[in-house]
Amino acid sequence: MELEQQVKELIVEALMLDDVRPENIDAEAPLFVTGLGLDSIDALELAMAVDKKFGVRIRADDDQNKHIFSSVRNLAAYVAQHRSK
Amino acid sequence: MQHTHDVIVIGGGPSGSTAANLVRQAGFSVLVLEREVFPRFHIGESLLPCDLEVFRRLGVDPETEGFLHKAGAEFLDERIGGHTVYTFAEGMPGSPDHAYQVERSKFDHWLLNRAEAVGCEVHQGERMLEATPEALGVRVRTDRAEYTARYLIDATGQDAVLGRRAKTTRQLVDFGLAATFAHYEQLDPEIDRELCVTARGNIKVLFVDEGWHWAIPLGGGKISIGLVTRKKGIDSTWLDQYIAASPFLSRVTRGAVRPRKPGLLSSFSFHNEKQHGSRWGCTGDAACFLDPVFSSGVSLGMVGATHLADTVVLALREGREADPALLDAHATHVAHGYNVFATLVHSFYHSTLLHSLFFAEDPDMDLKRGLTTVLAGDLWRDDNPFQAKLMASKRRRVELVPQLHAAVAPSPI
Repeated sequence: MELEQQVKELIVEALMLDDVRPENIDAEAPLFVTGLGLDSIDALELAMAVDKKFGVRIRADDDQNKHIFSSVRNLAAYVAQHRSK
Repeated sequence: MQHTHDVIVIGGGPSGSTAANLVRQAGFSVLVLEREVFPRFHIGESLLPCDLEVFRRLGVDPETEGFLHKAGAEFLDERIGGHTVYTFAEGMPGSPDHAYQVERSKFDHWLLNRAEAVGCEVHQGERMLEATPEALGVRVRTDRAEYTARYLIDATGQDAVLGRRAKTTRQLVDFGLAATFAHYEQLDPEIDRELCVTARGNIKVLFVDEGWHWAIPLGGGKISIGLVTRKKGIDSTWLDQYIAASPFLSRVTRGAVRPRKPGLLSSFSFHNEKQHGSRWGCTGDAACFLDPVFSSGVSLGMVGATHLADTVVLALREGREADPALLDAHATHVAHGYNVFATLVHSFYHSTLLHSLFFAEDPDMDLKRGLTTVLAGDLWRDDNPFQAKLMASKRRRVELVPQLHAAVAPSPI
């Protein structure tokens, strides 16, 4: 499966977004504040899920976070670069 | 109106005893009406470090009673081999570093005796029938007599008599829905040592299918074990089935004696939306009970009672006790604590957040420290980044707002 699609499914699953279908998430739209409207606890939860699924560590207070979590596309790109699973 | 007492406290559990003790220590006459005759069985045996300051003010020392030291909490998920230890001493700077596990029959009796020792009039086995706040005082009728006072404190626990009569209690349906539980005695001495000494009296919380278990060592070969579930149709046979399915719980209870059959409780999570009015206020479970999972019940009840007593004492000194808005600031202060735990409990049941945090291979120590501080009940500080993030999360934040009377809402801290 395409990595972006896997990331979308992970977001919905890990954050239990019952009213969101993975295919309806825009890969380029912002995940936080606007867009899906996620917050910093969501970021934390998502980071832990990404670590578990792909073996990619993203620290909660990493300055790069804003960029990594800015969209599904950027998150998938980061995962593709660093994945160990 | 001639008053028989300055303050009447209905209910002699930990919250009622705390309020009564402190109001009496401030020089006012206090009558405590307790329906039961202590000692009596009760669940909710695990305290939090935030109680240490309350004990100091009550003039009691849990060490002298031999209550078991609780260093922290352990979370287990035997399905994935997950196990983590949260130790209160590893919380944020200044956070109190230990708590106690208490057999409630003994603990509640001890606190009620203390209230009597500082001069409260304590009537056990006396049932309140009616409590009527009037303009000039509160009338309380019991199965034995009638009393009048300047102020009434409802500490009737899960009965929440004033709230249920006024129909202001609202069930919290997102949390645990039912529990079955029992005490086990005469544990194998090796097991008891392991729980009380090696594992430092920690409470164990086990994630299982459809719910979770508590396992609270009480010292002296005793342990309290419970199952909380959101699944419907629970009955008391479930406890044995679940214990048999858990390697840890079956090992701990092997050969132990269960003096009485498992108890069963449901619909215990509720919020009383009207917790105070002219000449009366609620404290402890009579104001709110969330869920047993983080042992917040007794501790928020005692911390809240301390704050309530301080507010009422000042008002009695100044003759302001009839002000319906007297407890507005108190209710807002206490609601902050309940809301932090409510949000955490909501995350426990409805998100992967806590499970992921607990069982991460290499947990973020800053987050762990922040969560430890919340678990200690150290909630009224503004420097905990974990708590700030949690409460800023609109999707997760639970906000239980008691009704206020003044036009301007007070600030929560």
